[in-house]
Parts: sequence; structure tokens; C-alpha cells
Amino acid sequence: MRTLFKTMKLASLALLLGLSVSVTARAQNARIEMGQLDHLGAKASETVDVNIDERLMHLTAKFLSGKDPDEVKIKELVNGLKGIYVKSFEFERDGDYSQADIESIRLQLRSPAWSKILNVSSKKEGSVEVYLMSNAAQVGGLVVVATDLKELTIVNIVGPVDLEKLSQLEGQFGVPELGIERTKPKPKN
Amino acid sequence: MNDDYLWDRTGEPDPQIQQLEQILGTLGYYTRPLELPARVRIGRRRTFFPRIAIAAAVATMLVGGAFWLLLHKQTALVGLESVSNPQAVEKLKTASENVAPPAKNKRVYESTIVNAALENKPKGRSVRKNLMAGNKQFRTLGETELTARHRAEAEAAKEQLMLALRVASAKLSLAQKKAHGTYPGSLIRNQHKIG
Repeated sequence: MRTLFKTMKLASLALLLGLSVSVTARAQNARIEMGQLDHLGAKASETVDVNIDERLMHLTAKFLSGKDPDEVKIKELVNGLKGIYVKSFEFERDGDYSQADIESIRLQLRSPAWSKILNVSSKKEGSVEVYLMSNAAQVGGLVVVATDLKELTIVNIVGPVDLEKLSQLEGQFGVPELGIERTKPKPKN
Repeated sequence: MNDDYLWDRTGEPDPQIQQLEQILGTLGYYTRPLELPARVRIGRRRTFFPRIAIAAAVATMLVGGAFWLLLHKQTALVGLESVSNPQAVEKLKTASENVAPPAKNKRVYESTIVNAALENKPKGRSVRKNLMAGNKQFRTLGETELTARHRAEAEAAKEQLMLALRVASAKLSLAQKKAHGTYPGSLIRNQHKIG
């Protein structure tokens, strides 16, 4: 009987060790779970669902041309990234998604590893939240949660990402400009 | 009275001390061989149960890990089997060109873009769902076929990557513009009526 107890203790310790290792590995990962939003696909008039893991990322980077300047820029940008995951839903009616859907994402971003670097919210124009995971001196991941009355977009980039370069992509490679002129700094007198 | 008896048992013994010796003497320590009860069996019975249990726990963890990896890989290559309709494939490809096409046309373009490209491969072979499970079959493919498959997969993944970057860039840029107050909505709100 005593042997049985000892064995069970050892086995449960081994299981706990394994579980804690996997949980720690998961916690350090900048990837967030977005599967719970899949049910919105049925209501949405338009759905974008992109899942590029590390293997696909490496494969794609190999096939990006080193001569085409546009592709060179992208290659630089995605170099070192471990995954890009996007879920975007556009709805025909207001309120087709609930706050609980967004909250399920925000909940994962409340861990100390994540910090909200930008939060612009407006009742009419929706809100955009930008979260960053920092590992030591470099960025470990990025999450953008953009919500509008008829739109919900979650972007999750895993790995070191250059925010400046990423935001500058708009207007290039077929990315539509929003028709906004950039404000030029006034010359000093 | 000579009390040498107390120290080295010489001299005249004291009857009280002798009496005490008799009483306490039974509690003294005497070396004698260990006597085991007859019901106790000498010899160690070896049991393999602990080892089997530990092995089972480790095996369970390994199987669990492999299952998790399998699921993880399958998420990356969602629904590899089919986009059976060629028109739908074309739609998916064209859809990825636009970030925000009109909402009237209900379109779903997702990871199946990868599969759309994979559909071009010669038929008769099952699609490799993941690296672990597919290695055996993977080795049997010819070198050129392998490269073609990789290329097709990479091309499709590239389209996805571009789409993802477009969305990410647009949203980040929007956030920046909203934060800096250059978003049209905020500009209009801040304007004053002239005249």
C-alpha cells in the first residue's frame, strides 16, 4: 500500500512537472488563442482568417525574392518572426459580435508580459488597442485589437516586429491608403 | 561503612544496593542475536509496479505532447483536404488582392488559400497533413515534385503573408493616425463653422 502511494506521488509529481513546463512555455509565447472567435464567421459578411506559423514563415521567407525591393522590405520585416495570425470579421449589422468576444482576447493580454502601448477609443469610430510583449530588450510579440460597430479585427504577430516598418507598409504592395495626408512639420522661423 | 562496593564491587555488599541491583538488573542491556517472528519472511520481493507506473506517466506525457504538436501543426495548415470548387479557388485568390472588398459579396478567404495552391499538384496522392505523420510518404515523392509542392505551398503562404501584413499595417497605421489626431473623423469634429 505504501509503495502504491509512493508511486502515485512520483507519477503525479512527474505529471505536474510536465504540465508546468508546458504552461511556462505557453506563457512565454506571444501567441494568443483566437479560436473562440470562429463562431463569428457564420454571422460575418466577410471573414479574413490567416494562420502562418513558424514553418510556413520560414518557407515563405525562402521564396521571397532578394532582388525585388518590395519583397526585400517584406523579407526584412518578417525576418525572425515566428508567426502571424489574423482574424477579421465584417458584419452587415451593428452588434453582431459581443463584448464577451473581445473580452476573451483582452483577458489573455492582462498578463504582466503584455503591455498596452496604445488605446484609441471612440464610440462612433470604434477603438484600436495595441499590445506589446517585451522580452528583455526586444519586442516578443504584438497584438492589435481593432473594433468598429461592424468590424472586429485581431492581429497577432509572434516574434520581434518592427512597428515603424510595419505601419509604413500602408500604401505599398496594394495596401489602400485611407486618403489622409500626412501632417508636415511647420518650418521654424 | 566501606562503600567500595558501589564503585568496584569490592568490600562488604550493602543489602539495599543488592536489592536494587536485582530489581533494575532486569532492565539492563544484554547483547543477544535478533529474533524475528516466524511470520516475517526474510528476503526482498521485487516489484515492478513503480517502474511501470512511471513509464506509463512518461508515455502519457509523450503522447499528450505529440497530440498537442499534431493539433498545432493542423491549425497552421487548416483544412488541407479540399477547396474542391475551382471557381471558389479563383475567388479566394482574387479576394486576397483587396483588403476591404464590398461587404455585399460574402467571401471567406482564410488558410484555405494554401490549399488552393496545393490543389494544382498531381492527383492520386493524399495530402500531407503534417510533417510528423507525413514523413514516410514524403520521402517517396520525387525531388522535382517535392520542390513544386514546396513552391506552391510557399506561394500560397506568401499571399497569406501579404494579406496579413496589409491588415496589420492598416490597423497599426489607423491607430497611429487616430492617436495623432490626423484621422478624418477627428479632424471634422474639431473644425469650426466659418461665417
